[in-house]
Amino acid sequence: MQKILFALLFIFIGGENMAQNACKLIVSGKIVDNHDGETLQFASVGIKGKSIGAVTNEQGEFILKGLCPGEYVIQVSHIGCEPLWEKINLKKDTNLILTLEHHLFELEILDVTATKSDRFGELYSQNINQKTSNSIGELLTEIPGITTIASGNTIQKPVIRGLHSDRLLIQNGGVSQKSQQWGLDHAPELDPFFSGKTNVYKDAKKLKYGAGAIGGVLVVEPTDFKDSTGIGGIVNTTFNSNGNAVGLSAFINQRFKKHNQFSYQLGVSTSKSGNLKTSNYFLDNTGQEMLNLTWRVGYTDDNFSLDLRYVLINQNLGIFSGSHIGNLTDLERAIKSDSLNYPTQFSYDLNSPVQKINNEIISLRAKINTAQNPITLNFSRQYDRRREFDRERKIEDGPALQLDLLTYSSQVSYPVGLWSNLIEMELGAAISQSQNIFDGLFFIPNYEQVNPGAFIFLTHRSPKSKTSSTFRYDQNIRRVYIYEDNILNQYDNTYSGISAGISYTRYFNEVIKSELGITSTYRPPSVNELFSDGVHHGSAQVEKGNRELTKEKSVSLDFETVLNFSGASVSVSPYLNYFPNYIYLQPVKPATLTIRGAFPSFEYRQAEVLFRGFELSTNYDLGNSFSGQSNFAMVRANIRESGNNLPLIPADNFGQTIQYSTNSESPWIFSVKGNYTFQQTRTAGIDDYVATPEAYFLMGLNINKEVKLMDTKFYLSAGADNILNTKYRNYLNRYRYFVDDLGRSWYVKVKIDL
Amino acid sequence: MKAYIIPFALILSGCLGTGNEVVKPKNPGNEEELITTVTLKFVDKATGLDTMKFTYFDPDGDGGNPPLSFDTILLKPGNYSLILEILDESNANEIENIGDEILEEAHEHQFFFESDIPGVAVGYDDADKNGNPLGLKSDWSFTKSGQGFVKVTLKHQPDNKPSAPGDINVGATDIELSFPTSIK
Repeated sequence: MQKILFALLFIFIGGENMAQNACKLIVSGKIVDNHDGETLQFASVGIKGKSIGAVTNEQGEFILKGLCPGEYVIQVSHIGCEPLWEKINLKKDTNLILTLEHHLFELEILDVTATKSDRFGELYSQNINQKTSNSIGELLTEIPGITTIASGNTIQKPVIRGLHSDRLLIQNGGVSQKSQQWGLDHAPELDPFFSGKTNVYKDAKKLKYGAGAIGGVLVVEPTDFKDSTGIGGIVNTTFNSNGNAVGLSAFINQRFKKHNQFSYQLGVSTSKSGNLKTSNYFLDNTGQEMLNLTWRVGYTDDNFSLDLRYVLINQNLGIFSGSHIGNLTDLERAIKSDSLNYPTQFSYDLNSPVQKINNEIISLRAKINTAQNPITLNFSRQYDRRREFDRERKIEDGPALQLDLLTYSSQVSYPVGLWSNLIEMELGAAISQSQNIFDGLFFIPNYEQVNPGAFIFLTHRSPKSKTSSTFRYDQNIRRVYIYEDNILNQYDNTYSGISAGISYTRYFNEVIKSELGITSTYRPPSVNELFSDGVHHGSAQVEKGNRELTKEKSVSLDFETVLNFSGASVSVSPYLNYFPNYIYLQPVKPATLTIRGAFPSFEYRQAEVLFRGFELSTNYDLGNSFSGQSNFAMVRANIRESGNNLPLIPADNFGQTIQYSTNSESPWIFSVKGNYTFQQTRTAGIDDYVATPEAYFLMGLNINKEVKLMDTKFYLSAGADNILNTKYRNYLNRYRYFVDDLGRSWYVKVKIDL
Repeated sequence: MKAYIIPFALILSGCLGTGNEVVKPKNPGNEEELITTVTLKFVDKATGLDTMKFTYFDPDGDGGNPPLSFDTILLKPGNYSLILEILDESNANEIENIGDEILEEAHEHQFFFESDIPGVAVGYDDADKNGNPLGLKSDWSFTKSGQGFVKVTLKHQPDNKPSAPGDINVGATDIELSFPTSIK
């Protein structure tokens, strides 16, 4: 197979050389505001699928050089404008005048067109097109600085700059998603096939979504309604050789002809995978199955628009049976046991231990156009049910633990408009109410809570700079119901506080742009941190809550500089994140003695902690249709008093991608990706069962192409992950205690755009 | 055709919900079956009369308060029969004999014994319906004096209890107690 790939690669590179002589064409032009005809400075102009790009000068002009004849999509984006895609068929040097629709205040549009520095990163639909994963956590790792914390391949949570779980917020279709995110082995309930765009915010803007967004906000938007009348659809089919995973999703998108104010969407997504394989053995009970459903109805006219959306996620996630252990002796035994003792055959069967998750969101979004700007309202109901089945119980006997979380929320936001011609202002408020009910094993108590909050978002723009700031106030009013010595007690707590963030972006010239941001925010301690008391069966440890915990505060300082040269761009982003009272699990000696043996004990504590690190990311044109991308990310975190390191901090990581694209009308795009992960050596004061895994290098391949037949677009992608079948263990994957990580996997994906 | 799709989709997706009330949580103390008491009864084979009892007793189960008693095994060198008594005494009015339940499901359970005392020998004195060892009853001989531990482990092996001599690496641990021991 490898030989065939190399032969193919050779043929296409050979074919390329003949065409390259003509690659000297120039596209130049001007970007103009649609409303007043004024030229737009600092608009970024690029070519889709290529690393060639430019930024407009003071006269709104740009120039792109070194292009071959062919069909291209020119992509233009500018702060406060809807992005523009313009298709051109390039035969000779061309001059274009492109007009942009300049909306200053529309919330969604601002999100879409925010400059690169406003976002931590965007998950481009192209990444989703190429990848076959249905874990949003894994897809997000394309962005430098984002990794995952995992329990195998089925449960993956995003980690942003070392922060995860309750320190990230997820905004799903305008709804602040509430599920049991406190758990290290509880992955976010999202289906990437239902998502149009996923942005990750780290700066002042993140505070618009809530106070708890210490690490950042994942903003997942649904696929847009069809903008022209008619019916369209998307069908996705995927196959991964590891786990023999098959996936199928179908999506219908229609705007009615007669009543073109109405449109709807209907989507189904399903997948099934079996036992996964490391470089040389299978992992028992590591399959998963999923059946997700969505529908959405929209109405738009000149005065207002309504958007009713429903998403249901059903997942059954297998947990590697060797990782579910009783006590400390069992854990040590499992660590020592020879992995080859595990059953080594492939199977689709899912037995206990398993997690079964149902997550349902129904939301109504209304946008009411006023004389000035539209008011957006959002109402939602969310229901999340998590059932965990232990290893020694049959699935028919019911879950060992069930958690039901029901949340109602409403939000309003109003971009007030320009204030004394200097500052744009947006106001927003939100309130949510949730209740959590457990059944079975006690891990966290029942509770109900109400969260009111309000924010002001201000933006000031000048020709060479942009300043955004957010101020918000939140309250968390919580009542916990807990049995203590057979007596039902209630505990009431209220946490409230102000969060503020400001970020300043300076455009020095066409080449350099810098941003500085300072954010101060907090999150209330979560219910598990306060009240959990019991054995965590996945990890064989006793976790004791601490009722003395106070709000966890954070002050962070972010800096980013982006350099845009012709044919290359570099971005450097150092940061500091200071927590005067970071909440973490401190090992407590001696181990808790129970009739089932000894369990290592941990208690939630607070300490002064400093996170710091940086990401370095570069894109460059290598000529002859080759381009490259290199990324490096590192993060450090220490407890100040003891100097000890925090556990589960991602190791340093270097990634390199080389891409080659043919010059045909719809190009073949080849890419080779290498990822080197260093060993995590910063483990001072961390009492771990086994040493951190050694450094490893993983390589992946991808070939993709878009084919158009009649009016149907086919998007084909094929490749391999871990093509060298490297044997490795990942520090942030809990299965590393027991078994190797995944071996080679071939994949094929076909997306049909009807 | 088109007009039917929307109501169809609406019917497909009903709102899920929970029947339980947040203000009335389940009392985990009453729900779960607990093992609170493990008593080791050593009967001196020479006399057949002297019974020495050593007990681990933790009425509130895992976590919470530490065990109320955790005896040290004190024996003279000799041959003994060991009988295990396993109880749930979390509710004083309703003491359950877990040992009986283990006996009923003997083919899904096995006790394992370990000790670092010199000159100790252990043998099973009972078996499940398949003739594999269980361990509610066992024979012990202590030939020398010494200090150390006797470790009692109960494994629950619902679908896969290995045949004799059994395998401590299989299944979930229901009991794992390491009694301090002195033979003199």
